[in-house]
Order: sequence, then C-alpha cells, then structure tokens
Amino acid sequence: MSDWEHVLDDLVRVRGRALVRHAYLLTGDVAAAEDLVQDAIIATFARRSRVRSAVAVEGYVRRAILTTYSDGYRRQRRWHDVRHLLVRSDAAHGHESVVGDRADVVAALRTLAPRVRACVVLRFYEDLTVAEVADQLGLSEGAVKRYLSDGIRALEAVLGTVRDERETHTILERTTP
Amino acid sequence: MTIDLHDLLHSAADGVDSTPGVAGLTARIRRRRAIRAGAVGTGALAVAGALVVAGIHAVPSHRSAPPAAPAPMPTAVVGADPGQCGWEIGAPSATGATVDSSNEKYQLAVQTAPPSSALTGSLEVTTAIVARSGEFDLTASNVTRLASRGGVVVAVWGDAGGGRVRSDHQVGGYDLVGTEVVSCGASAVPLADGAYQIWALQTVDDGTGPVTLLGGGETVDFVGGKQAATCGADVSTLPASDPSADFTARIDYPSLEPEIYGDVADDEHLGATTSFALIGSRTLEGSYSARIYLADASGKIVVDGADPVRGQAVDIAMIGDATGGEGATSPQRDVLCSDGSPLPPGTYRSFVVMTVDPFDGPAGTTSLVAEAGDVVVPAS
Repeated sequence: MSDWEHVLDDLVRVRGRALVRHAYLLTGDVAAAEDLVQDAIIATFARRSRVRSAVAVEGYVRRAILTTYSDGYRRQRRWHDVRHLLVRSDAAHGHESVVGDRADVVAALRTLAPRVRACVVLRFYEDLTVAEVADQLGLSEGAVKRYLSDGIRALEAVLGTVRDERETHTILERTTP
Repeated sequence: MTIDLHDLLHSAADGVDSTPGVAGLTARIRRRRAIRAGAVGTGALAVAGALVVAGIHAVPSHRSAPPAAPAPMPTAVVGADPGQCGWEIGAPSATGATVDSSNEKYQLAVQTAPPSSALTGSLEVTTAIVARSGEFDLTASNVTRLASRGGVVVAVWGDAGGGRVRSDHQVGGYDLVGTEVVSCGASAVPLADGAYQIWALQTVDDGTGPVTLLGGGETVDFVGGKQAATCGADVSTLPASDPSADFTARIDYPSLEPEIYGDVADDEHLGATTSFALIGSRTLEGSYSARIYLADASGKIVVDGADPVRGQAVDIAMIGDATGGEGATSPQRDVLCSDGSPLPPGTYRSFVVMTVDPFDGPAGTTSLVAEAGDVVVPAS
C-alpha cells in the first residue's frame, strides 16, 4: 500500500462522514453530496504527487469540494424555476411548525450562491474562525466577512433572526485557539 | 426569537450517516494518476470546459488559381447511408443504418465558431458529448461533419476526433477541428452562396452497444465559398428569436461576479445573465451555447465571440428541467472581432444569442436572442 493510499484510508475513515455532511449542506442532497466528496477526493489525490497526512490534505479536499460544486453549478448551467423566496415551513406543511425546521435550513442554504453557502457552512457548522474559513477557501478575510454578512441576511429573510453579531463574536473568541 | 444557526445546521446534517467507499476511490485515483503520468492514452480529446480554437489553416496551393464555379447541388439519394453525400438528414438507409438525434442517454452537441478573418474557406466546428445525467465513459468513433441544404447532405468533411470520451460532468469530449469545407463529389470546389445546416455524426458505445448520434442543425451562411462573416455585419443579421420562448438578458461589464460566472480570467469582462420562460406546453431541455455580440453606434457588429489573436470559442453547457429559468453566459473577452484589439471607448449595444439543441423532438437547433443593454467603455 503506497503512502497516498494510507492517507486516503485515514482521511475517509476519520473525516469521511464529516466531509459528506459538509457537502450535504452545500448540495441539499445526500447522493449528490457523496458524489461531490468522491469527486473532490479523487481530484485532490490524483493531482498531488505527495500527500503527507489526512489533516494536511483535508483542506485541499474541502477546497476541491467547493471548486467542483461551483464548477458544476456553472458548467451545467442548471436552469430551474425561479424561486424568489422560500415558503415558510408552517405554510408549506400546513400545520404549526417551528421556525428553523431542518428541511427549511437546507432549502434556505440552497438559495445562497455557492461561495456564500460554503462560508456559512464552514463558519456555523464547522465552527471555524473567519481566518480559518478564508484559509480553507483561499479567500481574503474581508471577502469571507462579506459573504457571511450576505448569507446571514439572506437566511434571516427566511428563517428568522440569526444569533446576533455580539454572540457570534463570543463564539469566535471561544473557538479561536 | 433568534435562531442558533450552528444548532440548526448540525440538526440538519448530523443525521447524514454516509462515508465514501475507499476501494472505489483508490481504483479511480490510480487510474487518474496513471493517465497524468502518460501511461494511458485517451485519444485526441480535450478536457471538458476548455475550448481553444485552432489557428490559421494554410490555403491549399490549388486554391491560388481562380476558384472553379460551384458544383450543382446534389439531389437526395434514396437509401444513402448516414453521412454520405445525398443522404436525407435523419432518414434510414437501404442497409438499415439509423441515427439517433434524441437518444435517451446522450446527445452530440455541435457548435460552430464565429468566422475569423484569419481563416479562409474553413468552418470551425466543435462537438461534445452531453450526457443527460451523471458522468460517462465511452468509446467513440471519429466525428463526421456534414452540411445540408434543403435537408440533403451536400458536403462531408473532417473525419477525426474519435477515441475515448469521458467526463465527470455531463459535458465532455470536446473535439475541435477547423477544416476546409468542400462540396460533395468534387474536390476544391466551394459551397455555393446560401444557407446550410451544419451537423455531426458520431458513434458511441458505453458498453451497452453502439449508437450513432446525430447532432447539430445550426444554420450557417456561406458567401464566396466561406462562412459569412458576422464581424462587421449589421446587427439585423443576427437570427430571429424563437417565438415560443420569452427570452431576456442583462449584460454585465466590466466586472463579472465569480458566484455567477465561475472562474473568470483577468481579461474576461463580458458576461450576461439570462432568463427565459417557455410559452405554452413546450419544454426546452438540451444543450446550448450562448454568445455575446456588441454593435457600435452604426449597428455594425464589433464583437462576436471571435478572437483573431487567441481564437476563443465559448463553452457548450446544458439546460436541465427547462420549462423556464435563469442562467448565465460564459465569460467573454471584450476585444474587437476584426483584429483582437481592446474595445475602443464608446457605447455599444449588446445582444445575447443562445443556440439551443433540444434533447428531444426533431433534429435541429433553435435560437433565443435578446438585446441585453448597453456596454459603456470609458475613455482612458
């Protein structure tokens, strides 16, 4: 077994589930998420002649997930019925429903542009700092903050008020090493 | 009431209990690494999404003499095999050979590049396999290019590009050939002036048996034996828009948002977002290519997607679930089609022409055309 195969085995065993969950929040579909993660792993390992460790390569895989997803989004030019605003879950299901229903948040995420969506997922699902999100995605911190601001504003229009900036800062301070 | 986005996202995703399969990944990575190392040949095929038009083709020496009078148009040959002179497009042959222009799995997308002044008598035709869903990996014959008039093949050329065709996306196997078009039955005789439909044939096999795909149908005008120039022509020469679709477009210039247009090169400043709604019960799912045209104050086309310096073409992309919706063109360089120099300061009218090849229905393409607003190039 070659070195890269050991690293691949580690990555999939230790981080595979987390990567699929991350991709699920991007795609909104489990099967699509599995395909996306596979494509990203293949693209990363095929391209890199040396892969040192699962930890080192995971960042590249995450970046490949976003690139592959965005590229598919652009290349395929999926045309779909225009959806201006999501219907809130209580209206959609015809019964009283808590704001922030699981299906709602996944559907709400899908209204965000790919890069905005990726920033929101890394920041609020993976609990990364702004600097860590920027590093993962190869963006400036300013761009990440802008994307996060745009994403939260769009999600609030559908889900309701998101925990405010002060509380977000508190989370940032707790998670910053 | 505030919501905790962290909790909400975890609630949504933590129930997903799936991991990639290592064995399958290992095999595919090994294969890709071997290909990158050059150990496995893949034929004369380009990577999906990367299109560069080839350069100048030398005019054969026998063309230096005054051209012979165009040969008379051949008439239909009953029972002709697909791709032969005289074949009626789509008709079965006497030998039983058939073609498929609405295959349930694959489409042969055909795109003609805008004519460049650098090319004489050549027609640059791009083809790509478009899969209706998922990735694909298949063997393919060479592509045969055809020109028809009145539904009858009158020119056959450019038999090349076969090999292995595969893609991790739904569009792949670009094949780019620029060759001189000659009439059936005679060499070095140009096509008579007029409108022709451009097609391609390619036999593919994904392991379930060969099928010959027929794609294309875009109309190209020939004048003086070569593709009529759009560069410098009046904007009224752009095709009419299909009346069964309400198509609108909005130009973006000079900055293109990556979220909309994907990877944008530093010298790509033209893009357009588009929207269409079908009228009636028609659907329009298929492949398409979209091109931005700019016209100056006199109505003369000064940008048509051609780039005489770099020979740029545009991507073939795919429409899915198309009863209507929104999309965007590929980024384009804002250079004059006449000589590739930057656009001079001024105000230009922009137009988007989208050529659509539906998956289903009769063979052929349709055009959606919209004026997209002004492009203002400031004085430096």
